[in-house]
Amino acid sequence: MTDPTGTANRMKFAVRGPRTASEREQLEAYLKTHDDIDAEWFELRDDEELGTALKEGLYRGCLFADLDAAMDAAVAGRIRLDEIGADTVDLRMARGPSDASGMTSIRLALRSAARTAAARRQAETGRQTIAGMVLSAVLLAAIAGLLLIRRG
Amino acid sequence: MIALSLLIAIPCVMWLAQTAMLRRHHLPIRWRLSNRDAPRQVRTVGRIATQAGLVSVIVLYPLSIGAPILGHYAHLYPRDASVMDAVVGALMAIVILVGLFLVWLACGRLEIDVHHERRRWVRRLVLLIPSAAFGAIVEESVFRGVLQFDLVRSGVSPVPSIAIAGAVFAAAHYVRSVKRKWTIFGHLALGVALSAAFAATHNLWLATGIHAGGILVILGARPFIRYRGPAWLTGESIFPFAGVPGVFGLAMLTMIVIMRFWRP
Repeated sequence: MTDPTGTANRMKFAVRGPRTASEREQLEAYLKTHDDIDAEWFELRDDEELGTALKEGLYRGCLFADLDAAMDAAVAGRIRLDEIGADTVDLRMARGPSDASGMTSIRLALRSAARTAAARRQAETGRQTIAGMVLSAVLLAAIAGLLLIRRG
Repeated sequence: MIALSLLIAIPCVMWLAQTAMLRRHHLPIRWRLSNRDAPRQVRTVGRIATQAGLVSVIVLYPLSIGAPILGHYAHLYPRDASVMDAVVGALMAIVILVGLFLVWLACGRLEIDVHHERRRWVRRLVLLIPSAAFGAIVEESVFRGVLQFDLVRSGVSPVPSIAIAGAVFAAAHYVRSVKRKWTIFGHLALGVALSAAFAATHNLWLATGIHAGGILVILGARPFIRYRGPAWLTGESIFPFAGVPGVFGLAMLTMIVIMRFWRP
């Protein structure tokens, strides 16, 4: 049996929503020259959904406009690039190094940045929660003190 | 203007001490009061000269007007119901500063980061209340208990006395060479708030309470926070009240002091 559209041989890729018009142009230009990619576009606001889909292995790869866009996703933490299997999901950039070794290094750097940013965010959130609780307690105690003195 | 003359003598004493120490270390004389890159001994003697100058003014002023030293300060710190003004002042300062910190924390303008070693911040926290009380009592005794008291005694009416004492208080923080000068607006607003507290209550309890409450929050938070700025918003270093919201908070505090505490 033959597939007249050729979709059977095409790889299903998620395209991370462009942040600017120029990123959209880069992504469209890349897809035009890569017939083997079956692209599904995700809006920028759907980063979390995209991250979940990648983790579940629903896509063969993910396409970013460039290194800035990929790094933005890695650092923001909504797409956990460090938790996505390196051998199962192919991370690509519409505008990036053409050689394989360059891309391998960038993929490693992206995963490392995502991991570091996640750890940092977790620690920061913990510290901010404690600080928020301490400051709120001090504020409430001070207000209560003022009210008590006023009543007395 | 005995008080002003005594206050002007302090930087002169500080400069003489600095010059003597620099000469002792075979270093060139500095025309400005500056500890930058100076040996530790020069810095230590500079600090001692400053404290000694302040204490001398506190002691010498009552004597120069023929009043007993303890009597003068007992009059300014009366043992009556107004003692509670110190508690109210401290609580008001805490509410304003902690409120600002909470808003900045929510906006991501404060980074929580323990940047002092444990032994150092524990020592700071242990000494926090005595440090805040001592700093506030000394500064209030000098700028309100001596300078503003002397202005009022010389017949200067309340509003100019607030302006002059507030301005001298602010300027005094810039006698030494400092990293940044723009924070003077914050010091000016703080000086006006504290001077208004003295003019309103005719004693030092409220001003000392506000001052101590401010020091308590700023020094207590210092080992654990970094300001992410911008500087116009969060102020700088130990001057979170120097940003626009801080100055606004101090203006609000001045209004509260005048409306709630003014006694003719």
